[in-house]
Amino acid sequence: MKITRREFIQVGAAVAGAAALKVEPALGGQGGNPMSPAINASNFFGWIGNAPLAELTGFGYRGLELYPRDLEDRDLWKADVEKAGFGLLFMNAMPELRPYLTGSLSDAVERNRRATLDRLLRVLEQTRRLQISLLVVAPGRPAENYQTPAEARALLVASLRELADGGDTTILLEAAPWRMFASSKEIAAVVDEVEKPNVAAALDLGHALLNGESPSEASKTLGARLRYVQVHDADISPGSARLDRHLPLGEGSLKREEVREMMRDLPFAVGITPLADPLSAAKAALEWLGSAAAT
Amino acid sequence: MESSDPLPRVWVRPVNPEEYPGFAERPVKPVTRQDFDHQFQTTALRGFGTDRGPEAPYKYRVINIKETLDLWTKDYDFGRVIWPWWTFLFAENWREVIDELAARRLYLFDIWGYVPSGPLEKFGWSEYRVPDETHRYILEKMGPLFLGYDNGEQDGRYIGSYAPVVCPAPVTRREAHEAFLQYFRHLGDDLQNYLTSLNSLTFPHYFAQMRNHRLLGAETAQALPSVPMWYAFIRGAGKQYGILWFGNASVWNRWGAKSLAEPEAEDTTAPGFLSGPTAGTSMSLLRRLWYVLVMYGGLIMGYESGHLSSKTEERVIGGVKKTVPALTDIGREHLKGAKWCRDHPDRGELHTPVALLWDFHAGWAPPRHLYTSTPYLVWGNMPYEKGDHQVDLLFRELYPTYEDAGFYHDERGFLTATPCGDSFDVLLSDAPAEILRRYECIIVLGGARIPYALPGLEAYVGQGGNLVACANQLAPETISLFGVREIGPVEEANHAIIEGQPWPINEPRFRYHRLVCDPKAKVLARTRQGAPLAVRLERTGSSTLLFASEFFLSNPTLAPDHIRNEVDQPLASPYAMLAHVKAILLPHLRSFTLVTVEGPPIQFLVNVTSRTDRLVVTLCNNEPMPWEGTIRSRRGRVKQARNWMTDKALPGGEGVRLQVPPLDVLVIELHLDRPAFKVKE
Repeated sequence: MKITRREFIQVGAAVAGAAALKVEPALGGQGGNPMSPAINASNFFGWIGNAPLAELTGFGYRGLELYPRDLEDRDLWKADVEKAGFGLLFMNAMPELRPYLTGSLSDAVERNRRATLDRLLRVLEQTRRLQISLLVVAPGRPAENYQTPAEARALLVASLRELADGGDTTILLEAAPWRMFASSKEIAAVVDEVEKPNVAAALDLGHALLNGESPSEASKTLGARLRYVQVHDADISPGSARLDRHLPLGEGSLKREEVREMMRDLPFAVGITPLADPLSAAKAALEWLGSAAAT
Repeated sequence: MESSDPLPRVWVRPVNPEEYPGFAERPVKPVTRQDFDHQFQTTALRGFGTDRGPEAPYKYRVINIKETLDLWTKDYDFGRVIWPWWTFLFAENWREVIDELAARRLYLFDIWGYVPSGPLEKFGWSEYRVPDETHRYILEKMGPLFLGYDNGEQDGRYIGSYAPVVCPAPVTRREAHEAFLQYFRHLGDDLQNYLTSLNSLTFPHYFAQMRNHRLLGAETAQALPSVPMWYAFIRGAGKQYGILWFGNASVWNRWGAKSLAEPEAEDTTAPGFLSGPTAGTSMSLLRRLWYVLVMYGGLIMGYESGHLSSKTEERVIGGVKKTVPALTDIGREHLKGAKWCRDHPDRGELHTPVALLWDFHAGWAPPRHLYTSTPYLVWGNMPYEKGDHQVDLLFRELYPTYEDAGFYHDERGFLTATPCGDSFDVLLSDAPAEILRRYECIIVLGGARIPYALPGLEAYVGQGGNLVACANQLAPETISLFGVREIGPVEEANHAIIEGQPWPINEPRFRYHRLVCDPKAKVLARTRQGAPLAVRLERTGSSTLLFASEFFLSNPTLAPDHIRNEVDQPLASPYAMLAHVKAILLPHLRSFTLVTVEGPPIQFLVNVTSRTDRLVVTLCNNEPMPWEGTIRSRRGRVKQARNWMTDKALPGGEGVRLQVPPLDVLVIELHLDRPAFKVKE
């Protein structure tokens, strides 16, 4: 069964998230302010516990994107997050998906793939308890030897199905640079092949740039599969090092007009890793997004 | 050459790991010289044959164990260090292999072939886990003769293939180091945390610091970094963390591999790469690498492969006629090199008077290398900052064309001339004072400010050391050490006047700090307006030298989009090292060498022992034309000299006039009429 983006937003992230924390949905165009995105506080501040949550909600942030490691000490921050008024929580599993370092969903070494899946299934158990409705994952890198792209794809599809069967959390596959299936077309094809109602796609705008795609084209390609957008910048100007640096908005090659389209009806999170003064960077990101919305 | 300067105090003692703090408590002990019977060792066999076949891929046996070992260690005495491919560990009769090695008192070294993401059942480039039972048995039978599993070329593999997929890329170098450790913890856990590093990039310090390595080394030649620069890292890591190192030269280059199995054959691309007698690393480079790596203090030396021909010949071995594979040029050069080492055991220690010191978390790598097409990265996922360019541009002066190693068909950069001597080690900021004091000079490089190591450096200068830094690397509490009272605002200039020289030097624009100097400090260079650009403060037996310019570099002179990283082409830098800095710093560094070399640029090393009137000088001619020049001791006349390549005496005198054939190496022993140095205790 496939559901549309609109249906997803209505019955998926927004409702589930709002129910969890007893607040109105605040993200995306469905009943929320398009300028109320989520923030990946770990990227900005190193750890949620370091984040000045009240100030962030004061700026207009309404949701939090978490990393799995944030779950380990949730008792330390959960009350503060609720008190500050963050309405929605999302889970980004990328730190668990560093091939060989932490894990991969298509690892040709079965014990590694199994360990990755087991870890993510445990994360899913916890996300259910917290009523977090989205889990973002990405393909791995190709094995150095003895694995064809078709074999890797089969493993990725099997892994996604297993995660999908782990509950009702929506598993979102996103393209990431220097990994397999790095184009939105390939991501769409993998999502279709998985054929599970709770498997869809996320779009990371910086990753799209690094993968040589226009974010708006990538969004169109993903179509109704696209359920979540992550916003950060990437510098792809000639001579720059192509690195997944999650730059502050405006410091790379991201264009405002491309972002505007996606801000209208999708939940999105800002995932910058600023070099200094994270609070100012968080504020500046919203200002940049505001100017993008006004473009 | 006579010098009235007091004799330099030179550290001559070898690294002895057992003398480093905590050695006794270490679960994985670095190899000691005792483990090697205080002998230099050479490598032999690289793999055992098996009867593994497609019908029963999991059930196989190692075959011809005794015959194979006989061939490599008796029929041809290549050495006692057996360096095998990993699959024997999973053979049904793996214990027989271990028992035979132990019975013959052979070393089991660097069991190789581990590659992330390859399934075990492929028995190829596989990610295997060494079973506990196997590891226990090896340790029980072989004890210190087991030198570890191969952490083989994995720093390059991580930097090129795994660091880029860390999402998001690290913001701090500490985070980048943590990601690096994630990779190497996985590798260590699979390989019983009992490792030998065969580096392919400049990360040996981080391996040594993990305390699960027994030896450090590198796969030289191939398409890998410049050896003089690279072994500055490996020696530095070895000295800092108390772990010995080895040498090895590969038959591969960027385009293919040398194969001399059939010397008359044409090169071919049939195996999927260029292979044949003229492919891969040249014989002359293999030869030079042997002697250079040995004189660097490598405890083991060997060539990667290619020792034996596919042709056979009859040889009389132990009085018995035997048909064996014929030797190739590589095999002959290996045996010749091994004999030379046996004949010249008193090679001493390489004199490395200067330490290049930077922050522990720097993660510096050469500006370009085999593992990425993106130049100028640290840790594989962070762009160079100006302090990283400082390291690069200083290396370009110390080892000209070092950045070209692996990029040119003519092999430039693998070995280079050394205008200031092959005299440098790289230390990281966690080096204790006990290590720092062994060096006659320390240059602080890179982006982190000096206070991280200040207590050690203050003591270092107090004990007679010579310290070099830039003003932007100093925190306020550090400046008095350099004869500076105040570091003022940043200004810009485009020239410099060196004291004693009449004309200003034109420079590219550069930023510098306005310095207010102590009257005791001597200004060595200034602007036309009188702003000090280089300041020396002399103390009894020690000095500091401070440059006012930011990392002693210009402002950017080249936009990033003008930089091309291509084979057989130079790599431009976006910065330039300032001319006045070169004019002051390079002679300063050269002054620490114990000999002077008059002639065209050449690579030269000086080895020392506790005999202060004896120097062993290696001259490596990396050019295709003969080198002719004169070697002089800075202190004392040459009473006697001996050419270790011919074992013939040479005439002494003020200096020794020498010729080095093209692309060849020469080692001479000099006996002086008086001490050239004092031994530092």
